[in-house]
Amino acid sequence: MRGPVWLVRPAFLIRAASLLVPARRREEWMREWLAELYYAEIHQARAHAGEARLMAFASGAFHDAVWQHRDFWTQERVARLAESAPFCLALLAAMVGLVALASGFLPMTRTVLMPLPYRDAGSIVTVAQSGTMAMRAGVPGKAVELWREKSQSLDDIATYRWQVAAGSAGPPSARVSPNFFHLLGAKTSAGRSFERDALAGCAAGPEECAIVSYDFARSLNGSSRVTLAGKSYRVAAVLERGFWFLSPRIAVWRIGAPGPATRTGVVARLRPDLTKKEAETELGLILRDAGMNDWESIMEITGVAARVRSFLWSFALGLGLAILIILPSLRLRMPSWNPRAAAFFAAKTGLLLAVVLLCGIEFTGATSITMLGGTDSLTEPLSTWLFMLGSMGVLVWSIADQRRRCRVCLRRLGMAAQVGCPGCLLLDWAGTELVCMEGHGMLHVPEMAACWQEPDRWTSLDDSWQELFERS
Amino acid sequence: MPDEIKLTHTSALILQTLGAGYRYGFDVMEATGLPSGTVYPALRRLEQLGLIQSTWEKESKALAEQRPARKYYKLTAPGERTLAKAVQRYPLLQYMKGTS
Repeated sequence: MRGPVWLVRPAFLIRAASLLVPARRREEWMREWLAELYYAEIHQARAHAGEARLMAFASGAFHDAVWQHRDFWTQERVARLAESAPFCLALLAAMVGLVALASGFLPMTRTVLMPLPYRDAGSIVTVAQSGTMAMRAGVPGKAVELWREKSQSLDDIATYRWQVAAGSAGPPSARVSPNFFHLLGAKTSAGRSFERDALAGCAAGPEECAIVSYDFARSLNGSSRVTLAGKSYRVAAVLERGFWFLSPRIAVWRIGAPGPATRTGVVARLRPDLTKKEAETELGLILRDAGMNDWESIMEITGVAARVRSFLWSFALGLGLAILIILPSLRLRMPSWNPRAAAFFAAKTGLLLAVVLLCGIEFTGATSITMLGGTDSLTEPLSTWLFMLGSMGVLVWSIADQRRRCRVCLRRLGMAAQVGCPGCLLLDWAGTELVCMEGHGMLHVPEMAACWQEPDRWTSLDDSWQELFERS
Repeated sequence: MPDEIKLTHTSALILQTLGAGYRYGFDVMEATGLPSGTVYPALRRLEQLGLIQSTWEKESKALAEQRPARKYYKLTAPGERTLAKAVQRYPLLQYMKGTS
């Protein structure tokens, strides 16, 4: 029945509200509301009332539609929903959202994955002695001075060293050479670039000074001094917003060159016409010519972008190890695959691994430790081990959950029943039987694994069983 | 048990309106002055409690008059008993315009 034109919008409201009504009640619900709207329109026309009254009438349909759910979400329906595969995925997605929310919208992840805040970041490299432990220990200050004097492959070279004063509750800080910010092309919060020798006086002058991060400067409330481990430093400049190196957590950068014997991290700007291999050879030759032994002269040059994101490889390694450990112990007892089940398994496992990975990045120091220079030797292995353990837990749960789901509809199986006599295994079967509540089949899980029987056996039920599983 | 049901004033008002002969949702709205978002959910609840009963008008009759069929509500026997108790609880109900 087609009504007057001013019924179109109220009728649209009612149709929109009907989407909230449970499907089995929707048709009758909408029939009543549209009929009532028809009579309301006749009444309003007689009373010379406008369309607004009809809209107010129709908007009440939303309240009524929501009310329809009052007895819809029974315990049985909630349980049925919780068994379903989409519910499982929605719950895991909510967990990812919760981690994002708890961490303040993934600041570490965003910082690390965004383009690095350096001028021509592709030519900036870190230089370290080859080998993991040597890389963490850094390079002697004497070697840096030799390279500065003699290297033809580096445009510029600077040093940095992460420093955590024992027992200090001060902000995280690092000591860097005076040309460090010039090399990286950093700018001050006022937008000025750092000149190459502008901070030289800062290191050699009568009072020591420091450069502070943008966020830390705001917490100083206009003060021009900062105290670290009981010592006061003059704030020489404030860095531009978003600048970071080593770790986004570093708040104070003290200026000072390392001593000849001090081991330090090295960052350099590579000449554009040279490869990393050529530069490594040249730097090694300079050290050998200066009398250093061959072992100490093997250098490794890594792009700073690759170094920053190298923690992801630690996590990939953790995941790989977890897979290697888990799969043999499960004896590859995965249920038979179909494309839908495989997609569900991949999505479920991926979401859980994302939760573990994001926790690893956001709530440990994982991003700040794989840079060389001896930043933190504790959190790197810890975060990797935690990620590996987390990955193992994820895989174990994900596979176990998959095995306890219907092979057809992917619902969790229920109505567990003990069958047979526990321990009476000679030519007999004892175990648990689980049933798909939609009547698709039954899973037989033996009490004990035996070589003569399958670990889990799935029996499909045909349509003749359906009436047993019909729900109200 | 319907006899023991204690109705809110709004539900009692709607029950009283139906008892007075108003038969469908919009009619009840007009008589009580309650908004549609209150009247229709209340009708559902009263029906669920067995105090009222709904029936659809015959489609052929509505079609002959070129209008949509409507859903009518009427009190059941438990509904009448509950209304009598509600009127004792809310005495002003019996003075409601058009229902006394």
